[in-house]
Amino acid sequence: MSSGLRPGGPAVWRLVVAAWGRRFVDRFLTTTLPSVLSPGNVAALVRGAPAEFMILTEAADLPRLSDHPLMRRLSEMLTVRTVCIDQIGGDGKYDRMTRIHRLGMEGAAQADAGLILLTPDAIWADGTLASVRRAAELGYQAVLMDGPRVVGPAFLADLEAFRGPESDTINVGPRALMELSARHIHPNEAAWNWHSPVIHDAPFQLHWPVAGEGMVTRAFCMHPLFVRPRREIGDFVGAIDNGLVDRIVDDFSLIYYCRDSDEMAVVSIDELGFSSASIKRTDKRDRILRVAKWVTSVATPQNRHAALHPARRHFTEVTERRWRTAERLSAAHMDAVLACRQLLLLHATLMEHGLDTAAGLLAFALHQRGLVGWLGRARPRTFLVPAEAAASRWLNDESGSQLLQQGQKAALFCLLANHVRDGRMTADELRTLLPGVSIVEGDIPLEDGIVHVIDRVLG
Amino acid sequence: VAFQAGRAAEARQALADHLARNEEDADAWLALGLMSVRSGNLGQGLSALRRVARLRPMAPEPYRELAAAYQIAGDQRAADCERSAEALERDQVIDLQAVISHMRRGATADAIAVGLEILQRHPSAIRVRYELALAHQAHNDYESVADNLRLIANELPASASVAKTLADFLWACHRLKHLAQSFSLAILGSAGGGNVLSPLHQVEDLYRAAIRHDPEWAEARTYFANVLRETDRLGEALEHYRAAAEYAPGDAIAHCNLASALAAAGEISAAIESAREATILRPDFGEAHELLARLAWLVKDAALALAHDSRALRCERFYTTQAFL
Repeated sequence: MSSGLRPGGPAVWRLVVAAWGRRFVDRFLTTTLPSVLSPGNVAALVRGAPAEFMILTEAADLPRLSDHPLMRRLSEMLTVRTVCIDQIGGDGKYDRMTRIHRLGMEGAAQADAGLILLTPDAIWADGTLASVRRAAELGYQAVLMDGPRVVGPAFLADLEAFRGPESDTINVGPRALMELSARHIHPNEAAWNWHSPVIHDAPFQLHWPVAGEGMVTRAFCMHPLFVRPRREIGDFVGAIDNGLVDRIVDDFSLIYYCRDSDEMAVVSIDELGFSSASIKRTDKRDRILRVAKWVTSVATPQNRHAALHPARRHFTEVTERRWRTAERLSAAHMDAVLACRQLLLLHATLMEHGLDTAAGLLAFALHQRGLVGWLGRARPRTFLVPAEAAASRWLNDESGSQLLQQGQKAALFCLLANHVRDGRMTADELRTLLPGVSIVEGDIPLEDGIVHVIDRVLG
Repeated sequence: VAFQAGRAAEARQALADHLARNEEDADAWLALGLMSVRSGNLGQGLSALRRVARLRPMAPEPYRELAAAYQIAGDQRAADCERSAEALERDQVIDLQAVISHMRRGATADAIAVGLEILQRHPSAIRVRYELALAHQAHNDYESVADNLRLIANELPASASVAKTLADFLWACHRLKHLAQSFSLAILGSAGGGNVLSPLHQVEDLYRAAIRHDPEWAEARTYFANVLRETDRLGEALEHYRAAAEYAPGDAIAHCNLASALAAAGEISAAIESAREATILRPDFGEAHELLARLAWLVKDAALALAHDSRALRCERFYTTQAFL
């Protein structure tokens, strides 16, 4: 538990969902809303506190929403407010969605509102919102969680077994929901399996299966099911799972990451397809590099923080030993990804400083020799980089060119390792440690490190 | 104007210049096709008319004109074209405005609802079914796309566009379901529920049909070659990759795929040339840079290899392609 927590729930709850168009409105009414109405969800969340349910929708969809019996039932529990979004445009559907979310979050800080951000195409396990309430009352400023995506039609057919006798609510427990999701898993999720022979272009979450029980997941982009903004965020740009929480939460220890699906569980409903061109062949080392590339260009600091928190998604009792093994493995892989990211940042810095040969050698080690994990764990480091003339001279020497041949991976690793020191060392500190080595350019800053350009290759 | 004044060569040149800048202008391709056929240049005419059919797969005119041109050439493809034209001419009586108006404003679920109502009255309404397939595609509902395209393909045997698109979707469904099945197996210990794999021979037959009716369609060649490589037929794949790069010299993906296949076949120098071409055409094509670097190492060209390894690493994100890598 964080020491910065100030116990006490929000003054008011605001549940927000954006749904427009027949497809999403119908799905919201037939799946999301029935699951939100299960006993451990909306009723448990708003008990004893003022609450409203804000639906952001288009005028054409209002009749379908207002005529639905579940909406009438919802309005008996809290205030239902529909907000017309016809006037909200945007540069594409994602930008429009961001603008709509901003509207849904307007005035939240002033009202000390706890925002529950729902999606219109998801099934929430019974008890999920009750768990959110507990975390909010402990003082957490955000609750992040996520769940697997499933292929719609067959999943929905199986889900009917959990519909209540009057067909109005869906009461599905977390384990039953996780088992259904495993049966109807979406191929996207399969491409995020660490052990898969392919990888998705946007690896924003990764899975490590625990056969017969479920999977460990580490997600960079998680759904902020609950946020409690302390300041208005009208200028927020980005997506709710990629930038919003960075804007809202200054101290990441105030973020509650759901670690176990028994506590909170959700499943997103989709169709089979997406561009299969987004799937590429990969292997263990290439996967680390590709994930690191994606993280370097897309993930926010909060996204990287999220990935340090493994979540158990399971449909049986967990065999603790097996899950710990999977979690340790996932931690090692994530360490490798984040260390590889450090190398990608180093590579960019080398290119910016005209150190093309050293940058090329680093890229060679990553691409051609699979040395993606040679750095170990990401931590503050000092990199000693040969100046362009020295690196170029070495490359053209026999010793240099030999080292780049097949079968010399260990020697190449040693060469690279010679150029790294733990911790941040200034140029002055380095001079005393490496007598005889001249520093051509010192103290080049790097995220989590420092770079010095030296006059030679350290063989 | 030039053609009507009897200056056929001048007219064809003007159209060719225009089409070099406006490749998607179906009217211009149709004009070029008709002019070429009338002036006895059947090869150019057929090629242009096939392009019209690719751009407007639901219009009867290109099939009608293709049927006439194939008959002149004594080509058996005339019969398929005739049948396709007739099917689409019969279809013209069905009004699709209601579906199209929903599609234009992005209301795909409404378009599907209206389209299904029309299909109850006119089960063989080809263009309505085509709009339905597009709407299902917007929902990522690939199986419904494939179901609709399958029925259309039966009615339009000359449509390379329909055959290729159906093959693309069946292939995608196969890959995606296979992937999902393996993951279900890893978690549950048994395969998931709705993931029945479609037979691959259908995919192959459809790509062959598409290429038969539109042999110059580089994308069809590339995608078919990808299937062939996936099923360990590198030699035949290479033929199609070569044809694709020839028909679409400005397409980086075609060159990259060709490079990859050439490398697999041991033709390293040719592979380097193709990979280099791909990187020139798309400087942000990370996969092509990576491939070129790998090939450069094989021929011990350290400078080229280092430069392209670095370029590959700097490409912001992996460029999404149909590249077989």
